[in-house]
This record gives sequence, structure tokens and C-alpha cells, in this order.
Amino acid sequence: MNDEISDLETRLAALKLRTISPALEPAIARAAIHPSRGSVSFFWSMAASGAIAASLIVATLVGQSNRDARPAPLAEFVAKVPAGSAPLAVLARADVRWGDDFGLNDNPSRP
Amino acid sequence: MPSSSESWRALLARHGPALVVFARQWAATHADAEDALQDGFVRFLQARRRPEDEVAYLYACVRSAAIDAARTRGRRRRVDERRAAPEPVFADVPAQMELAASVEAALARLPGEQREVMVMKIWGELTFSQIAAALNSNPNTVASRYRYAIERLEAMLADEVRHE
Repeated sequence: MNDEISDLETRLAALKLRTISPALEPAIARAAIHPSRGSVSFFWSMAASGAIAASLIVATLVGQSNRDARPAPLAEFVAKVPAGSAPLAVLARADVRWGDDFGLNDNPSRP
Repeated sequence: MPSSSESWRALLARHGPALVVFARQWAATHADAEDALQDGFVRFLQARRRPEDEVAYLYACVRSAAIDAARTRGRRRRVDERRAAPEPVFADVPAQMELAASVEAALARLPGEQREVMVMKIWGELTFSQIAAALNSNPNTVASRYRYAIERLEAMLADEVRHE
């Protein structure tokens, strides 16, 4: 960089800057120690959203594991059916209307 | 907090006026620039880990606060600001008034990336490495932007002298 530019830099650096307001320092101290209500409420809303999301995930996982542990309803039902029953009759008990349509329900008193 | 309570006051006293000039690039008034400085300083003080270079980090905080404020303000007050008389960036010193006005006008015509480097270097007295850290750039790029800025500013100021 040549001397002329250095001279310009010196002249620029010599320009007096405006002073900052004396109220700025206490305002910064206050804001740094006590964050604004907006940022606090933002923090709490984010925390609440996080907690709700976490609860939903936990509830889903617990529900999933309980469902896996229990036998499937149909399997339970089939297990109770006497060994000699016809397969269609077994299914018909699971859906009464379907059994009626095909005349598979063995209970004649049923309306 | 990156700084102890004593040293942040020293940082504010030492860099405050230059940071206001720096923030003025995105703020129409001195008061808006001070607001950006306050917001940036609070971000700096609330940082979770100590930065490698406090001054560079402080400039980065004030820069992002000023840009955020300009975005918000832009939506609200653009029309009012156009009507308002421009506020001087530099102090009211009779002996410097002419140069200050010329420099201010010339600075306004520089591209933003050159202007911010220039303000940090000349009035903030940051090194090229510090400027690069604040802008997330590299020192060579920053140094070349500075050289271009000085050359353009010099040409603009010389033009002005010639026209007088």
C-alpha cells in the first residue's frame, strides 16, 4: 500500500466518532441479567412443546411394547375355538354379519 | 458468559463508538444503531462458551443483531426513514465536518462487504484475522476487500475535491 493511501487511512482514523449513550451500559447489564419477557416466554413455550413431544413419543413406545407383549386378539380367539370347528365358522364368529350373509353362524336363535 | 462483568464494560467503553458506526450500516439512525449494539452485546454476554477472540465475536454478534433489526424494521418503517433527514455517523466536530460528510457519502456508495471491512479496520482497529473471524471469511479475502475499499474511497474523495 502506498504512502498516499496510508495518509488517507490516517485521516479517516482521525475522524471523531459519536459517543455512546450513558444509558446503554445499564441497559445492557439489565438485559443480560434479566432476559426480556419475550425470550423467557419463547423459552418456556419451547420447553413445553418439547415436553409434550417427549410424552407423546414415550406413550407411543409404551403402547407399542404392550401391544407386542399381548397375544393378538384374533389369535386369542382362535386359540379358544374347539379343535374340530370349521375354519370359516371360526372367522364368522369374529364378524357376525359376515357369518349371517353366508349362513355360517351355528346359533339358530340369533336374529 | 464469555467475559467477566468488569471486562465487558471495558470492551463496551473501548469498542462501543466504533460498534455504533459499524451497526449504522444497517440502521438509519444513531438510536437504532445503539439498539443493535445493545442487542448484540447481550447476545455476546449470553454466549454459552468463551470465544477464541472476544472482539471478533462481539463484532459478529452486533452484526447479526443489526441485520436482524434491519429486517424487522424494514417491514415497519421503511417509508418513515426515507422521509427523515439523514443523521450524521461521525461526531459534530467543526474542523472535521466537511471530511466527515464526504467520507460518509463515500462509505454509503461502497459495496456492503467492502464497507464493513473498512469500518472494522479503520475505526474498530481490528486485524485482518479478527475481521475474518467476525465475518466467517479468510484473512486474504478480507485484506483484498479492504484494499479495494481504500482505493475506491480515495478515488471518490479525490473526485469530490476536483468538483469543488
